[in-house]
Amino acid sequence: MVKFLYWNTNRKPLYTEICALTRAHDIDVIILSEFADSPASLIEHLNSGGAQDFQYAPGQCERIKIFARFSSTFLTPKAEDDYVSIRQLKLPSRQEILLVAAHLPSKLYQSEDSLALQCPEFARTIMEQEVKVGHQRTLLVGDLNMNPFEKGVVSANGLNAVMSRQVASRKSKTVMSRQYPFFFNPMWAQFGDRQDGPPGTYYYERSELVNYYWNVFDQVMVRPELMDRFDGKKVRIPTKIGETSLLFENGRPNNQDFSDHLPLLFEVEL
Amino acid sequence: MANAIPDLWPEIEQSKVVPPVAILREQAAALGNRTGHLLEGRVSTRTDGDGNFIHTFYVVAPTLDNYTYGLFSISHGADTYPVSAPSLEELHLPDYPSTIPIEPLRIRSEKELLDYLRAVLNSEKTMRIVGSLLNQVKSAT
Repeated sequence: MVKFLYWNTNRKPLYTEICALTRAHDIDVIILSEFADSPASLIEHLNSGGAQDFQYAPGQCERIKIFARFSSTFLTPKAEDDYVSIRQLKLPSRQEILLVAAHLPSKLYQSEDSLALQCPEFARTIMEQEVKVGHQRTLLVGDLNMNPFEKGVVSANGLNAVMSRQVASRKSKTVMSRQYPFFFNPMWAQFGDRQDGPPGTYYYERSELVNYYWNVFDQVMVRPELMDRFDGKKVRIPTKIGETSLLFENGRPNNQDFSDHLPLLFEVEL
Repeated sequence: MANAIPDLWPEIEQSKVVPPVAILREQAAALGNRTGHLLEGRVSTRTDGDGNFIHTFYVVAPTLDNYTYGLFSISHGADTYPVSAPSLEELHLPDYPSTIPIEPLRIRSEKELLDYLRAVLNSEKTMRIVGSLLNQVKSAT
């Protein structure tokens, strides 16, 4: 089982919190966006006080930083741009997967339509890499700056990510003779008060007629080929690290001391 | 019997405007020549649903299992100009955005496109990425 932590750290030096989460949940791969500090400093913190053996797995995408508790040579960059880093995760004697880490542009700076229009290009890059490695064991994680229900995420020529394993198990959808592979997106289950956790990963409020307040911008999703190795029910949005709450008393993310985004925890059987 | 319907077209001449994709391909070829083909440029073109052509410029490292870095994309309609391109400010952003909304640039001529590409290709970010890839390619051989 390989355990992952994803966190948009909002440019805060959250060394203590990242280390505590990593130790408490026995994390193997840490993926960060908006991490404004030096990777070397985080490695130093991660590896102090015990044989953690974390390494920085460098790439050219400045928005994404990846650290792993194994040799960084097992996380080879395959394709990148300013917003996405696609790595081949190939551990000895394990099934290799494609790891797509993304931090897409913020809606504060691009319209919802502009963001949605970038998703076909993003999806196409993923598909090109899947053809190249010869499989679709693909896991996508990151701050998409879109909710699971938004056009760029759900449209067939975007990420084509659906809420149901049963639908995703059909593998692809055909529209006007073109086939588009599905992603299974378990993050739909993370909305609102019904589930055991916060109502989303990011809170945003302004004086507009349409406002969701809680958003699930931070998402993890898998291709059908990886669904048997990925339990969507084990995706968690932690709100506490030990005794420390990541939330204000009103239940919203404490963006003063920590990040305005909550972290994501998930695991994959490789 | 109805009269034959006339051909209303004038003499059709190919536009003399150099298409943006030709300029990008030239720069892609130049990257290969400049680096002894340790790195290559690649231009990929697709159309969106609204009739726009989107050209993406990639840096490719053939000896690093064809690793690719998508440097930037530009787009235009059936008319080759204006071209829409990310502003230099956006391309130079660090790992998080500024607090000011950034509008795409509208490039209205071949000369403006050449000026834009010169600025992008000579930017610190492009130099960092190309330099780092070249270093990795040379270390791996």
